Amino acid sequence: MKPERQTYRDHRIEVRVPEVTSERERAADSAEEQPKPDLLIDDTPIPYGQLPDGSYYLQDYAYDSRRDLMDLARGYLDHRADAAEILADRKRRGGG
Amino acid sequence: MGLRKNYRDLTASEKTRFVEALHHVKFWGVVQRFADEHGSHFDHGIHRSSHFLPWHREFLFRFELELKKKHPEVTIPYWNSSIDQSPADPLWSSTFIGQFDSGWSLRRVLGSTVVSLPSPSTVEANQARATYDTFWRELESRIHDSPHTWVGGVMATTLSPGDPVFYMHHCWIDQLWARWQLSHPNVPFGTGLNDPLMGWPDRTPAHVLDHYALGYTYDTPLASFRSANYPARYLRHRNFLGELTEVSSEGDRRDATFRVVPGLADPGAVSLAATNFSNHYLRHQGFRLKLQPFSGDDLFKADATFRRVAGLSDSTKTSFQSVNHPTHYLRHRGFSLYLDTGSDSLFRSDATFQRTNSLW
Repeated sequence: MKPERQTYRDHRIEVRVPEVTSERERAADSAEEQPKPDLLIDDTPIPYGQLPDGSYYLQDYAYDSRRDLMDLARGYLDHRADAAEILADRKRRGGG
Repeated sequence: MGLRKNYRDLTASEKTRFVEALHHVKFWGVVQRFADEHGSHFDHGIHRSSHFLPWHREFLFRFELELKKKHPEVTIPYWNSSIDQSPADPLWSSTFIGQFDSGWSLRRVLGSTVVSLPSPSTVEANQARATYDTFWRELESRIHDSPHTWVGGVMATTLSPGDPVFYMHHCWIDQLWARWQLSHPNVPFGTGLNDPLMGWPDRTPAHVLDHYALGYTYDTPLASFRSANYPARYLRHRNFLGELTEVSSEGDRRDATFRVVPGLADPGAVSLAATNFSNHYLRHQGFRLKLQPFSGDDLFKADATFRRVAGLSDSTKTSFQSVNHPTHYLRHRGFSLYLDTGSDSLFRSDATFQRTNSLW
């Protein structure tokens, strides 16, 4: 996976690939056992995992798995924004 | 045998029992233990795998056993999210599942617009899948996933069993699997039948295929319908046509037994599905009643959907009003079934049926 960065809905999303520094890591790298990239939103690490079909999921947004980590992060931000709007609207209308 | 029901059909005391049992297992740390177990195995073959359904069946079974420690009669009720799609539904009442939101810090949203809850026609189309592999894949991704996100908060995370509605949602998913199994009795499970379920090395899918053997059943209503003016005769299909006959053989009884499911075109109405032909429904076509396989098109859905109204000749009984020809009703004539309109007394009697326990 390549490092990638973008701004979406005023949030910074970054896929950060750890640098390979030692011989052992270089060997692992060549053996395709690459270290897992980090996903960050606004510099905060976002825990994620990979399902048997190869798609990624987030621990806090686990049921919208996608093949592309960056796309998944954008989906998560859409979900967060949507949830905030629904809850704010409910509060405005006097609900819980 | 425990009976798992739609939550809407719970009696007041059954609701109280379920809520009390949930508080009990929460107090003793069981809810957290189940949530942690689910979270730790989340990407270890319990999702996006043929073990998705059997693993969750075993998981619910074990949770239900914990609930029974408080109330031995309790069973997990189900939430059918293809029907109950509003935050105003009684499911979320503060006297029922709503009370856990603030009490258990669940951060529910209810009504996420980034996903759509499954529709009844998506569910019925899924029931028609011919192999286990095509069935579970679609059931998981197109029916199971979105309710998690729609509820939001804890339910949208890998620790979703921390929200009690997780169990009600998965109870419905399990019921859909049980229904599919019933209508596909000879279809093999496929890969992994005898492989251990994650976290339970002594349990495999083969151990949970038969949910009756686990000690529970579902309330999916089966019913038969007796003619009001020829009470020895029942509404049935024969050679894929609707008829009204007396019933004697085992085959007759099956032909005269239907699954009463939410209407394919209107979930507030009903459709009548055969119990002996997978995914076949009673529909009208050319004003004749026929048994045909679900095709998915809108005309089929409308032709197979009827409103249950008070019987035209006897209000304690039932008449079936067509949703796309609302002046027409299902009636028998010459012991065949038609969609017809009329007002005389013979018409009203021919269009009136008494629901009975299922003959099969």
